[in-house]
Amino acid sequence: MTRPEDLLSDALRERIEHFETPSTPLSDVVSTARHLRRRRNLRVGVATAAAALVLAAPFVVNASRSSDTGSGPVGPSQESTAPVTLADVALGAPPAIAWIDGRDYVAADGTRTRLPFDDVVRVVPYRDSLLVVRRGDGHVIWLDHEDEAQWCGHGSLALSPDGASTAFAVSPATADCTRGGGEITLHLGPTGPSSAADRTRPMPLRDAAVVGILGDAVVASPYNEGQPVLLALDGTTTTLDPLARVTGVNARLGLVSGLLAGSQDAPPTGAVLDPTTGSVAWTKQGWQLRDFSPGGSSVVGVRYRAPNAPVTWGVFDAASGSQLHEFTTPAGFAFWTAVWEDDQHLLLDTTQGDTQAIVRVALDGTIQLATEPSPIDAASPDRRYALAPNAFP
Amino acid sequence: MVAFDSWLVAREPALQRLALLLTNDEHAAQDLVQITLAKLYLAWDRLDDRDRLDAYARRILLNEHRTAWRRPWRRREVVTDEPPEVGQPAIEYDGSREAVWRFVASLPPRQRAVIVLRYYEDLSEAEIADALSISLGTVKSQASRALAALRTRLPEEMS
Repeated sequence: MTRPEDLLSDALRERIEHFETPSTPLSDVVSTARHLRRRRNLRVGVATAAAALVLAAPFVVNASRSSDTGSGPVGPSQESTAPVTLADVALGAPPAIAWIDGRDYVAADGTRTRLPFDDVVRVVPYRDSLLVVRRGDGHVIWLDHEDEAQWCGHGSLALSPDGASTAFAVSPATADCTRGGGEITLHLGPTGPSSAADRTRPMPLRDAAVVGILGDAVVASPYNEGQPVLLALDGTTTTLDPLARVTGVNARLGLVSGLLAGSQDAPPTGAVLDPTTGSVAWTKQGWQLRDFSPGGSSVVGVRYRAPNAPVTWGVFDAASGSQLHEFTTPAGFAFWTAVWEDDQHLLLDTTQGDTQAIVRVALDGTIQLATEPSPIDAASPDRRYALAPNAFP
Repeated sequence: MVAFDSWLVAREPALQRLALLLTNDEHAAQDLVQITLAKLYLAWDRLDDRDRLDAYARRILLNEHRTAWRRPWRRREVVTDEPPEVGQPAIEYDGSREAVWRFVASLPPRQRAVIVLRYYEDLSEAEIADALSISLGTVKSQASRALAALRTRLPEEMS
């Protein structure tokens, strides 16, 4: 006999079963947020400078920069005096790591590959081709092999430091991947040509990022509930109890970075952990640690003080935690992804108002553009630029 | 902040589905989700408890939905396939889940929210009370009334 409670549950699920969930363009979210902020500020009578009313206020850069040369990096923001817009920042070399430019995947050497989809959000090399994640339906697709390799993706993609292996978590493809789907399998496969099958194991987390590869294991971190785990390909799972989430993996030193468990309430405490022993190597109160540098010697952290206030970045020695650098980026500088380009530079997927660009920041705080500024198309859910998740060859 | 776009890709569909069940109107649902995402975006830097992002987003959405319904000029009729006939129960169970959905759609907004959170989101009564900022007793009574009303519309062998 069907109970009324079951009828309700079934009816509600059936109601949304065929609902094609729309995707809100990020630019719409930002635009609406800006409108809300403006209204809120008006309500409380805050009549500060107009720059404070927008999410992406003009940059503040070194006034000594020659505005008519159009070349050379911009000085550290803490020395800055004159506000400029994103478009005024000098254009430098393109990213030296892989990135996405519209429908083109641009490899680190500048080689462009036209992607067959216009909503690709992540790309990694896989079996002499590319593995892409589509935003619209959440599918993970092995390009040129769509008939045999198409799945529903779960979380991000990861690449080993030597660029030889790719890790990803997928479940059998369904029409709408956002509906949950079946059992999730973690894959570790080659980036180059190979006839060997992927190494696989069950993925115990449903809603988690595949952060990185550590030897014969993959580090995964939940987006929401749960704890980060070290997933060995032999099936062993080690919960990284000291951390609430993992944001970086250092294969050279065998360390992971992340947020100390229990410190989710302000101020957050960044921590570096040896996952094999479970011991915390060092912590930094007030810092949200991100990824390790490609060489593994340092790790970057970020400190947010208030919305739209200048963001402080710190670079720490990976082994000891001693601080090596500190710099700020301008107020209103909205970051979406921060990736190491090399051991001396970060690349930031950045928006300012209705403009997007990839910005290169040196460890002394000097900024320059790695791409030309591009307007954000409010009618599209996708932005022109994206950084590939790893600094691979 | 760095991970907002990742969170957006992963979790917006769930918000869209919840919004649709609450509003029964795709356009209203999209509006509701957009304002929710914008508020979440504004608060993103201050959200240190990343383990509870979903719950936080859901609370924003529910608050916005409640606020919208309290604005008289924004109230709209519940959309159903057929208008109820005078003198008969609004919804007769005809064996289809669609009929049960029409019953849910006919519920007052808060009662519908309780039902959606209980039987779609699978939240506990305590979690619903927290999400809707109402008492546990109100959650129980709202759910109980809805179930009782549904039973009156079911064939006897099912009720």
